[in-house]
Order: sequence, then C-alpha cells, then structure tokens
Amino acid sequence: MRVSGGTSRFVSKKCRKLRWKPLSDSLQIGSEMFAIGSWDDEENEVTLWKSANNGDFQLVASVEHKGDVTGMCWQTTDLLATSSSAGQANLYKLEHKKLCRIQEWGELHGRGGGGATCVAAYGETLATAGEDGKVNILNVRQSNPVKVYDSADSCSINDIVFPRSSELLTSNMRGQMKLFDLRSNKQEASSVYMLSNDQVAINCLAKHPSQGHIVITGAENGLLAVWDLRQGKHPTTILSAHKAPVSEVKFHPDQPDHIFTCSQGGELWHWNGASIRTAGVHVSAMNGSGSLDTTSSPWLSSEAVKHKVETTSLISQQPLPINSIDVLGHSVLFGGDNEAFYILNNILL
Amino acid sequence: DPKSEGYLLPQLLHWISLHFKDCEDGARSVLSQSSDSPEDHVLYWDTLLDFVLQGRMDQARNLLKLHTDFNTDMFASMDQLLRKMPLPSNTVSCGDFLIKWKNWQMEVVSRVQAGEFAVYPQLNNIAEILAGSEEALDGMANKCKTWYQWMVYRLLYTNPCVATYDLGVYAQQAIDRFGGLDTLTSLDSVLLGLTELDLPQVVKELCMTLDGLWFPAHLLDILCHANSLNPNKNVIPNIAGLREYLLLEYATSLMSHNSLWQAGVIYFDQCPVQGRQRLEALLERVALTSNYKANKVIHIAKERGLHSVVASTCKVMGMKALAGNDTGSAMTWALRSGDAKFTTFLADRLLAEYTQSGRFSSTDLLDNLGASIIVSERLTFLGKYREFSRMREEGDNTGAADLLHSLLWSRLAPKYFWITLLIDAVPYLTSDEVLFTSDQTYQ
Repeated sequence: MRVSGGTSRFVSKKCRKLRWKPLSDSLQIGSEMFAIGSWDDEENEVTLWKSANNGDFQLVASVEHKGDVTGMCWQTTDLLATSSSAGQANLYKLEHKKLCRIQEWGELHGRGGGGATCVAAYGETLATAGEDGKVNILNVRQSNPVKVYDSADSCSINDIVFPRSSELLTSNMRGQMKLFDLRSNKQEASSVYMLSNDQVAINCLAKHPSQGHIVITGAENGLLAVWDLRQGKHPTTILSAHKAPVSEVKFHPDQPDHIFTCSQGGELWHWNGASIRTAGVHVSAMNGSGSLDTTSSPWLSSEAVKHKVETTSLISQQPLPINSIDVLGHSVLFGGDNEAFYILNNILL
Repeated sequence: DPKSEGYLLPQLLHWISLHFKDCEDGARSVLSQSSDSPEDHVLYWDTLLDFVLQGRMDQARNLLKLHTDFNTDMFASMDQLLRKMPLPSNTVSCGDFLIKWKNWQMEVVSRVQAGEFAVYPQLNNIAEILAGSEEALDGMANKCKTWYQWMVYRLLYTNPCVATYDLGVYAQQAIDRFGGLDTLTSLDSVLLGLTELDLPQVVKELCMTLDGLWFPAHLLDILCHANSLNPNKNVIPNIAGLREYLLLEYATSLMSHNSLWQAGVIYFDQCPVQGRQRLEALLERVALTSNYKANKVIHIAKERGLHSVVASTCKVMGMKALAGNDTGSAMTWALRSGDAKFTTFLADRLLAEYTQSGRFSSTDLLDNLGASIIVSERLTFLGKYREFSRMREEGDNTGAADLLHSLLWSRLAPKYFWITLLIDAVPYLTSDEVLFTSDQTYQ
C-alpha cells in the first residue's frame, strides 16, 4: 500500500455521507474540517469535525436532522445543504462554531419511503431528487422551489449532479441517466442515456472537475461506467470494479486523472488514470470519429482504460459497507455502517 | 481466568490487587504525612498488613523501613524474611518452588517460636501470617471485604501452588467463613461458579443478572477460541454449543434494533449451525424504510445466497411503490424480484391505464425492458404493444400492421384487451393498402 498514516474514530452513528469542508484559504491546510451525516438511527444528526494537529479529532458542532441524511454537499465554505429521507432539504450555516439551520424546504418529496435521495449544488442553486421521481430546483434565497419537474422520472432517482450551470443530470434505479436543460421550459429530459439492457440501478454520479461532459457512474452490480455526455446514449467504457454495489465515486478535485470508489462490500479503491497517459497510449474516441487530442481525459479511452488503469485497494476489506468517500488534497475521508469515520493521509497521486 | 495453565496464584494476586486498592491509598496517606514516627499514623500497620497479604513485598518493606525502630534486630529480621519470601514464577517448576517455600516458611515459624517478634505484637502478627498460621489468617478475615479476598490471602500463605481444580474447595471454605451460601450476591455466585469451573453455572448467573447478552456471548466466544487452541482435549465439554446459543440470542436481540441490525448479521455469520436459518428469517423483518435500506438488505441476502429474501424484499418494495401510485418503480422492483405474477399484475395495471387514458405512463420503462421482457407473458405483450403503438405514431404502418397481426395471432393479449386490439386493427383492414394478407384476416 502506498499510504502512510491514517486515523479513525467511532461516532456511534452509521455514516451516510462524509464531505470535506472546502478550504477558504490555504491557511487552513492541516486543520481541515468535515461534515458527517448519519442515517438509520432514531435521531439522526449532522456533525462537524475538525482534525487537530496531533492527529486527534474534535467535534466542532452537531445539529439534529429529521430523517436520514441522504445527500450532503457544501454550497459555499460556510453553507451546508442536506437532503432528507423525510422528504425535505435543509441548509445549515456554520457560525461561531455552531451549525444553525437557516433554511428548510419541506415536503419536496412526499411519496415513497425514502423521500429525497440526493442533493447537488451549483452557485446559489440547489437541486434535489427523490424516490418519487421528482426533481426540485431551489435557490438559497427563496423558500419555495424555483422549478419543479413533477415527473422527471417514472421511478426512483438515485443521484443528481450539475454538469454545467444550465444542465442537470439524474440517474435512476433502472440504469438510465437523464439530462435536463434548465433554461428550457420543457418538463422532459433533453437526453436520455442507458447503461445497459438490464435494469441495473445507477447509485452514484461523479462529474469531471473541469470537463463537465465526462461523467463516471457506479452501479448496483459493481460496474463503473465512463460517459461522454456529448456523444451517444451509452457509456464510453464499462469497467468491472467491485463485486458489491458501488456506494460512491469521486474524482480528485485537483487531479482528475485519479478517482476513488467505495462499495457496499467494504472496499475502497484508488484508480490511477495517469498511468494511461504515461503508457503512451493514443487516446481515441469510440466510433472512429477521429481521435481526440491528448489533452482529453484518459478516462474516455476505452481500450486503454480496460488494461492500463492502476487500481489500488487502500484498505483491507471491511465487514460492513462503506457508504461515502471524499477526497481533499492528499487525504481521503470515508465512513460507513460500522459507525466510524476514517482518514487516510498522504495518498500518493 | 481459571482456564489457564501454569501458576494460578500470581494471577489471583494480581486480580485482587487491581480490585482492592485501599492499601495504596493508605500508603500515600502515610507517606504524605511527614513526621518522625510514621508508625503512629493510624493506617500504618493496616497498610503494611495489606501489602503483606497481597504479596507485595517490596512495598511492604518500603513501609517497614520508615519505622523509627527499623534498625533493631527484629525489624531487620522481618525485613529479611520479607525479602526472602519466594514468589511463584514461570521460570521455576512447581516442585522446586514448593521446596523453597516450605523451607522459608519453616524459617519463619522457627523465628516466631523463638520469640523474636514478641515485643511488637503487630510485627508478631505479620510473622504469624507469614508462617501460615490458621489462627492469624482467620483473624484477617475481619479485614477483608469479600470472601474471595480472604481466600486468596489464605492461599498465598498456606498453599501457593494451588491447582485450578482445588480452588473450589477453598472457595467453599471462604464462603462458609463469610456467612455461607445464603449471603451470596450475584457477583459472588458468578465467582463461585468460576472457582468450581462450572461454566454453565457461570453463564446462567451472568445471563440472569446482566441486562443484555453482550458480555456472556463475547466471553464464551473468547473461551471457545481458547479452547480450540488448547492442545489438550477439550477442557470444557459442549462449549461450542453454548457459545452458539448465546451468540444467536444476542444477534437476535440486535436484529430488532433499528440501526444495529447490520451488526447482528455479522454475528449470525459466526454461528455455523443455525446462523443462516435464523438470519434468513430475521432479515425479512428488517423495516424497509427506503430504497437505500432495501438495497442493503438485498445485498446482504445475495452475498449469503438467501435468494428467497431477495425476492421477498423486492416484492415488498414493489408493493410499497404501488401503494404510492408509483407504477414505474413498482415494475422495476417486480422485474428485480423475477416474480412473474407480480409483473403480470403490474402489466395489467399499465394496460388498464392505457385503455383509460390512451397513453402510457412509463414509456421509458417500456421502451427499454431489455431482457426482462420475458419475465411475464403479460409484460411481453405490453412491451410489444407499446412497440406497436410507437410504430403507429411514427407512421410505420407496415411494421405496425405486422406486429398487430402477430399480437392477435399469438393470443398473448388478455381478454379484456382484445376489443382494443380489434379496434386498432380496423384502420388497417379498411385502409387502401393491402396490409393484411388473407390468411391473417381469416385468423
């Protein structure tokens, strides 16, 4: 393993989502903070932790959360948005070492036991999607949804992401992804993408940090798929990854040649796509429509990805699922149903 | 831990010293009071006695040195005795140790009888204890808070090589001295059971007194592993069965918890005989509050080959979706469960929707059924009919007509739908183009 140093802590609640707080300035390196959202407990909560210099952790703030935390993301360095299984979305502000809920959008997603399943943020806009197949577009300054797609999908939506400020991408339990153009008034998706002919749920979406048309998805059967949203309705590449359903996929925010995945089988993998470039493989697009220049992402190269990605398992397999993962700099944060969070430092990229 | 090999007494002494720390407090108090004659401190002799009883000779000697009369012969003699006392260790065999110890004790006895300590009664008392005199040790019983404390002290000075199977006898004697079996507390009962190596008794007491089964279950698990590592034949018979019983009970209690059920699964995995069946039965009872949780349950069941649980979970989720009028999700769950009846039921519903509203509600589902179209005949029909209706919309009349004909011919259609099919066929029959051959019309 090329990892040195890791710390962990039991938090007595099953972790559903863990997210590093974005650094507001470089002075914060070394004392990063992160938020954890819990699930499956009688009283769930959102907690904020800070890593102290001696490797220990300190609970900075905690706040009650109604329902499971199903999705969580930092809108700005101080605003944290969550989606809840009770069907609502919440916005918390970090002020004077306390998390206060400054905004609540209730009853966004009624039908279905799971309520809202995911949340995504872009600028001042938030989007939530739920088990009822609805998508809500919210603005932090307004207490009512800006736009509602009542029947965005005919089944449960699992994850949502903004490829660009004007576009919204959702994935559902049937293995389809739908792209919505937020500028138009249509209630239907502008494009539909299919993973395969089988109805395999797509659990998570990850968007390339700089090239918004590249998306990687993790599916219920453990497959990873790389998509180019501009081309075709099917994935560019499919990688058989974990044996268990993929819980989360994440691009490294500064080095997108690296992705991290975690699974319900308790595995945590680091995929090093940079090895494809260095292998000198000519990156070409599918369908023979001409070759992309080498500045394009190596993830789109189908043949190369199959054979040349260096994959490292960062930890030994855990007995309980790992639900969420986030990466910042050289640190990977993850946690799951064993009620603990872990941080691995000095990941070599 | 009465199950270990080797010397029992050092471990017992260690255990007592961990639980009865008064002597340490006493020593601190004596030391902190800086005076010329520490022996006048009210706790001095008691503390010294405690150290001696617990076999902590170094600390006893340190305290002794503080005595103003330390330079006298008797104190020197006492110090020497304390220093020379052999303590059992793993490097010396039991036989050798016993010889040394007996010699030492004889020396003590002779010094006492010679009256060396006659002037100081407290010192004499200590010497008597060192000599193993029953009288002196009996007198110590009043100092002890519990019977097992006294038992260990007695053993130290009368039978330091005590074997595990003899411990029960000494325990009984100690209990009798301290008021008999009637006065036993539940902790006492557990300890008595331990000394008598009566494992079922111990477990029974633990289960009765403690709230949850966490302690007995884990204790049995550790003992079982230790047992299997023991090169001798099974020290404890039937331990595996007892362990499994406790683990099953504990895991069952976990499964009813809304969050700890996942931990319960892991415990069931460790029960080779009955774990799987119990898990199968209890996994179905986990409350499926969301898709996310249902997926986790399904994954757990799949990993262990519990296909019936997978199927029933999918059906439950499908029914829930249906109750929320979400036919699309319901159909996806039905297809995942592979259940033909449920799929047929949902296909019927979708067809009914069509006949009422003239449109399909879940077109993206129907257009992309893929391999799962064959799960149920009704679904096949539905899928094909949707294809027909799409072709019709797109104006592909020949293809539509062909498809319609095959639909009619294959008798896949449910009875209530025949009318619709026939009505659909009418435009094709009456149109100018020859869309149906005569054979087809005949049928």
